[in-house]
Amino acid sequence: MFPAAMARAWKIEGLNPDQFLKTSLPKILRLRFDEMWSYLDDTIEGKDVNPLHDMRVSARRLQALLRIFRDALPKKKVDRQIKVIRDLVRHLGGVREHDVFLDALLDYKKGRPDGDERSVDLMIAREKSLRVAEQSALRRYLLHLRRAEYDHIFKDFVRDAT
Amino acid sequence: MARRWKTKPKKSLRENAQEIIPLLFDEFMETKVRVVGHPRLKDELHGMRLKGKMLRYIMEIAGGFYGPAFGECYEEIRRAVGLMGSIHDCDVQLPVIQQHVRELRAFNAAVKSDDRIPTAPMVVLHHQHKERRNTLFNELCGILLRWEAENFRGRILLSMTRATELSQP
Repeated sequence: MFPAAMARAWKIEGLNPDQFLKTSLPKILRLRFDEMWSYLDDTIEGKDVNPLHDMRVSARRLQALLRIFRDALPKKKVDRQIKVIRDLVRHLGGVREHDVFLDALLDYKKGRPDGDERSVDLMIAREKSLRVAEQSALRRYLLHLRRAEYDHIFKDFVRDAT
Repeated sequence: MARRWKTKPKKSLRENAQEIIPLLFDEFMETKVRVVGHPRLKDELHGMRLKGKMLRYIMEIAGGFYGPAFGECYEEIRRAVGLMGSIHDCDVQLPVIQQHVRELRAFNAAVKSDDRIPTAPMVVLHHQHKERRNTLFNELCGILLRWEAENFRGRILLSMTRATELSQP
């Protein structure tokens, strides 16, 4: 069975909601970033579909928070980060879409009586080949982020912006 | 569309959340009538889902300090956004299946009968997907209509206000 469960968000320890937003926001953004970045190596490796899914969910969390708190951050700088995360979400989504469909197809095939299932096999083969192409684009993007030490760039942004 | 909320760095996270969450909820529900009344409007549903995610992720953070009643509201939002995601998956997959069937039929028309590939399994899959989408969509509509009938927005606000009052010394 394909794991549909969404990765639980990391708990933000020591978050005081009564502090100024400018004090609590860096803590939130850093943690959400660390959560997303923690899946990087396994997603690049690509042996398992789960880290990719978890990275996508974490990236969406981060993207939503950057958008919600955009006014509390320097506009040009935050927009630059939003763009990077948005591109990442798109790349991850490109692969994930095929994972979800492949899972549905394999599940469907399993439940079918024996017979001529070439039409399903062809669809599975097509999805697998499209996934390979998307995975390779994703991998290039992730390697680019890792080489550019994007984790440092993002943390510098948070430090300077808040 | 212009954003309705503005975050304030010199106010607390709690004060910001209290202002933002109701506005994000309103944005989320803005297209509810069209979505519920027109099951085929995929783009509207997808747009509503994207707004729901913003609400979901800020509520996820706020769940840490607004207590269990708010946590229950968060779970409902999470469930609704999750359903929208599953419907979206069907909306993405259905045209792909349909196109595959078209291509198989074109192939079958061009080859001898012995070489034809039966399309029935894909036709059945298409039918099952449509059924699944309908079931999920009806479930989603049930939730959205119940929220309106039970003043779910008010429940969210009340859970936030009560938790804030309890946190005051």
